[in-house]
Amino acid sequence: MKYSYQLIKELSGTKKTPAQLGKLLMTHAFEVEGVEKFSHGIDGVVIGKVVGLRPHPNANKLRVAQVEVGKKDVRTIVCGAPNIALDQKVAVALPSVKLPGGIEIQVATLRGVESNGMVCSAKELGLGDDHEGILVLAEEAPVGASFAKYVGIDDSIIEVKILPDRGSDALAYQGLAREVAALDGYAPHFGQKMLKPVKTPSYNRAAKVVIADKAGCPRYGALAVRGITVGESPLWLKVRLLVSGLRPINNMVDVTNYLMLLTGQPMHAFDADKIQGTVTIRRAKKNEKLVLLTGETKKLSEDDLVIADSERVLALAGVMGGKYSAVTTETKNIFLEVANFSGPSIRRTKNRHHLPTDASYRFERNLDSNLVGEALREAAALLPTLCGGKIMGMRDVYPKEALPTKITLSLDRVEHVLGVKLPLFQVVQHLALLGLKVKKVASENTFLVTVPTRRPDLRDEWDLIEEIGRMHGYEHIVAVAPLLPLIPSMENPEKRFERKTKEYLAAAGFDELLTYSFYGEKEIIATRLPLSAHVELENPLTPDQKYLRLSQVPLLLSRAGENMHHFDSFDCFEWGKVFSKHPKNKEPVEVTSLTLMTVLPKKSEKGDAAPQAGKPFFAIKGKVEAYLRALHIDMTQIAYEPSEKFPELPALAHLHPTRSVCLVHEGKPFGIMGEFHPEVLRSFGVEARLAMAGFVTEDLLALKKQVTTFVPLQKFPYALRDISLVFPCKTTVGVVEQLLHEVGAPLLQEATLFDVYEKGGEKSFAFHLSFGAPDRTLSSAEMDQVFDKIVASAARKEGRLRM
Amino acid sequence: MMKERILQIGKTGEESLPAITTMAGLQAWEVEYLGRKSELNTLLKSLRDLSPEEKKIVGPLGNSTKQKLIALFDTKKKKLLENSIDWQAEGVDITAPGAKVAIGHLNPLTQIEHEIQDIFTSMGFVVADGPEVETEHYNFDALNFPKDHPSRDMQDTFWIKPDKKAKERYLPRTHTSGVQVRYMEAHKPPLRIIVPGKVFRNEATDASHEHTFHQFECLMVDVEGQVTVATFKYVAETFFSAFFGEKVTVRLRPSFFPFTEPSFEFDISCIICGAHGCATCKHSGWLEIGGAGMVNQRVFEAAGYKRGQYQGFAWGFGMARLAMMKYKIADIRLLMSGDLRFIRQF
Repeated sequence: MKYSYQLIKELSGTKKTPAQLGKLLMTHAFEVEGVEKFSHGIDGVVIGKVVGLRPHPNANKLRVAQVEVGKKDVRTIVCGAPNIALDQKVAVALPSVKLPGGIEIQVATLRGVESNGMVCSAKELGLGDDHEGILVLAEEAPVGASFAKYVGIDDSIIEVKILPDRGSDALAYQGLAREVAALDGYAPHFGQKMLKPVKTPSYNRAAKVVIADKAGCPRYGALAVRGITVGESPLWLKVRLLVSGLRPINNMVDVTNYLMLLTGQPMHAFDADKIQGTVTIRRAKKNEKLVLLTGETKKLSEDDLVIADSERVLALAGVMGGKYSAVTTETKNIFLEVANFSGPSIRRTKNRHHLPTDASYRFERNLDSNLVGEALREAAALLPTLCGGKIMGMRDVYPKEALPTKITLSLDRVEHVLGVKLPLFQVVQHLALLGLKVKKVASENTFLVTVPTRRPDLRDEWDLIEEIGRMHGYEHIVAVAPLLPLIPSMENPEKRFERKTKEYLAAAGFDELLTYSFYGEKEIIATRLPLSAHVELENPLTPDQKYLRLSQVPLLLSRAGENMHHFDSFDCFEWGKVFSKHPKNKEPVEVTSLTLMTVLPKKSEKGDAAPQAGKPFFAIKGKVEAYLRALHIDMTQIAYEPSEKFPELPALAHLHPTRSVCLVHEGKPFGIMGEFHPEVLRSFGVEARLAMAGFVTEDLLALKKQVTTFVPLQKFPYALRDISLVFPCKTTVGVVEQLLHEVGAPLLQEATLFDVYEKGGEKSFAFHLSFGAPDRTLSSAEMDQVFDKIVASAARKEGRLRM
Repeated sequence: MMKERILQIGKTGEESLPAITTMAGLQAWEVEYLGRKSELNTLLKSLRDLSPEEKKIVGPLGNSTKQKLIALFDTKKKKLLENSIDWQAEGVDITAPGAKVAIGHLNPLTQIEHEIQDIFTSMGFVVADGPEVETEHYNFDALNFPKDHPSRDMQDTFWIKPDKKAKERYLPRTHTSGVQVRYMEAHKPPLRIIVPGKVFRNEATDASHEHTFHQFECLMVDVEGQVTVATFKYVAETFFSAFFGEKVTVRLRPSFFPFTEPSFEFDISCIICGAHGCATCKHSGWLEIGGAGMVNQRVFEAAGYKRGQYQGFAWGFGMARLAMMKYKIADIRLLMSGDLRFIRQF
């Protein structure tokens, strides 16, 4: 909220400058968002007195005024305002002054008469809409003085962020002034000053009030005022509103706004003549409707608290009034509501109907119902003087008075929480300055603290300790090292695994990308993911960020595509949560996903001996295998299964059907990898030189070998032999490898493919074989035997040894 | 006699060496002066026939001469080996680039996270973790954000579209603080945890705001009186001093968070200007870092602890802010841009 420094100073009696005040509040109470001079734009406007006035020689509608703007300083000013008169005190803009509307005053000759300034209207000064005539000031206005100073607009604005806990007391001048006084070290005088009770006539002409919902409306007060005149507000009131960031409208609106700023209590004026019978505060009935002030019609909920009379709903309580009973310029008699409504109810109504208003903002912060009495008195004192009229009656229905809270406070606990020992008198003083009553109870170092109802945020001992701490000043609390038992930090295996993986991948050449957790339908369709499995946001920032990601692929693929404009080849990865809907109970399920991507250079650089070089599938496969080996995962336990075997995996849909695999452990898939489906690449506009792999990291961690056991070093040398087998074309490397290992065991230790080529409908596979045994050097006869066995078994599979 | 002969052999051996230019020449020299049948060796063998007085003189002389010749031989051999290679022909262009080895880069946010983790784990903190899609209970209710209360507006919240079948309301967590209650439900004090994680706010992005950001939470709880506001100041100052590698002081300002009481905003002394005032700290000498406070007893109650039994502090801050300060990154959006031109700088 924006606070006028002048008004705070007046109410609190502080002697501090605006900057000092800002610092004081920031250090001890609130977040201060800014301290600035109010920019009114009327520097250089001075108070003048019309000392001479004669008709303009050449123009009917103009007159030539002699205006005294200082000692022996009388200016000739040509003026067209009909209301200018001799001896008036007026606001004069002298040459070179630039007014808020953008007019720059210059010495000018108007129809042959030189004019040395301008006598201003309220509108020209930014103080109202009236531009029919000039602004006429009070007789006692001092000639030559600054106009801005005189009207009190020469002010500083202190913008303070009042957080929800203090919304009940500090969103008001009086509340903030009370705080300032307490921080300054004395109780504010206005706290003691009792306003006179409202004088009401012996009859009570105010409409009768019935609270039908006491939980929703703890107190309902009202003033009936007869014979008001809706018009412009006096200058002082306009200025107060302007510096507080509000636009003056008319005296009725302005006075309720001002009283709200002053006391914190929102008020609502009804046209009393539109009220039929008793005013009832109740919940809306089914299908009831209300046309708001704004003209909008709202269908009400049975949870909405309303103000109604015997005929209709008049207002949404504490949120907004209705059009029917609104005050207009024709209104003569008003019924001014000064009431207290329960915060949660107001908040629900505000949210339901999307009606954030100044009133609902304050009510949802749970105002003090005792504030109604003070505000009624302030209103009764101010309203007739500003709007005219006579108070014809008052209502104040207050079924159950709010009582102060009593809290037992132990001095030991103050020390235990703050970590600093405060003398007893200081604790008492801090609390007393805030208006809390402190009474010592029998046991030593224990107090009974009475909290006034205006501070509902103070509910327990810790709330009081916060008050003591901030009053004392946190800067006086010195850092103290804790005295604690030595406990080793237990490792979090998932976080450790995450870090190890990231560090491995970075060392292996992968760059880490982070992408958002949201995307839209476009990405889902482009990646052929199932829309129905996605967790959806109720209130997305934009429609294209409506879904929680089911996969990292859509955004990672699009980032990869962008990066391909700048980099020929690269590897990247992302580690993070992905989300899906539980198929049965539809609740969101999250798992941690690791996605790797590899992008190959535009052209394969060399015809590597291995036929797979240059193909994205094999590039990612090699990198994945290296990673799995780094995790010490037993590769013999891992199977590569064609992706068509797992149609239930949604992520497979974006992969190339015949260039992708599932990584399977004990029949359960734990990862996928492969090249992208051509259609997906087309949707993303990405060239076909990349491949991906994806894992659920929880599965990887489960596979990760925790402890490595040493295997004795090979004592006897391995013998190496090459073999080249020819099979029909359809035969895969996997089948040949399996054959080699099955037949070659236990002497065959390793079989490494080094060449594959096709010729005449046949496929030739060349392997380096290494043979060995733990207890001896193999004889060449032993190897021949195995070799022959391999060839024989190849023959059974339509294979033969290549000669 | 013998003595003179030994000296003579040493001298001629040494003098004849420089003229040798080939390995074969050197081998011949070795046979002549150091071989088994060399004169020197023969002389040394015949020492046993001498009188003790003569032995005393000739013995050491013979040995030292032999050692000298061996040393000369080794040096000469090395030199000949070196000279046997045509170094010019062998040479490479040392300015040509090395064979390319790809290195990867971790996102600066990850690097900052690891740095922070290392400092905290060295002080006995455990890294805890929680779900990114959180229940309303853990994100708000258990943290003393009452239903229908404006404190819920302090964090612009995305909500998951409720499914008819779902029992709970879910949301992408607005802070990592939900982990506080989850962890305390499973563990008893004393406890010291840190929670790094991704959080989400329903707010428009610009150069300094993101709807997705990475937060760091710290929670320390013990019996009453052990962990105080003064302890918080100490731990915070220790952490930031370690992180920035210079003495950092912490300033607390009153604030409000439903899950702490008392609550603070905390600032650190400006590490750019040494708290003298500069553009970064808006000439205040302080940098706003995060929020903190003493855990609200209602949060302990929500975790199943008895009111008043335990006490501790909780604090959180955005890692992006630290990353931006450390690396002087001007736009927060770069961190999640996925642009390799950015990532590869770190």
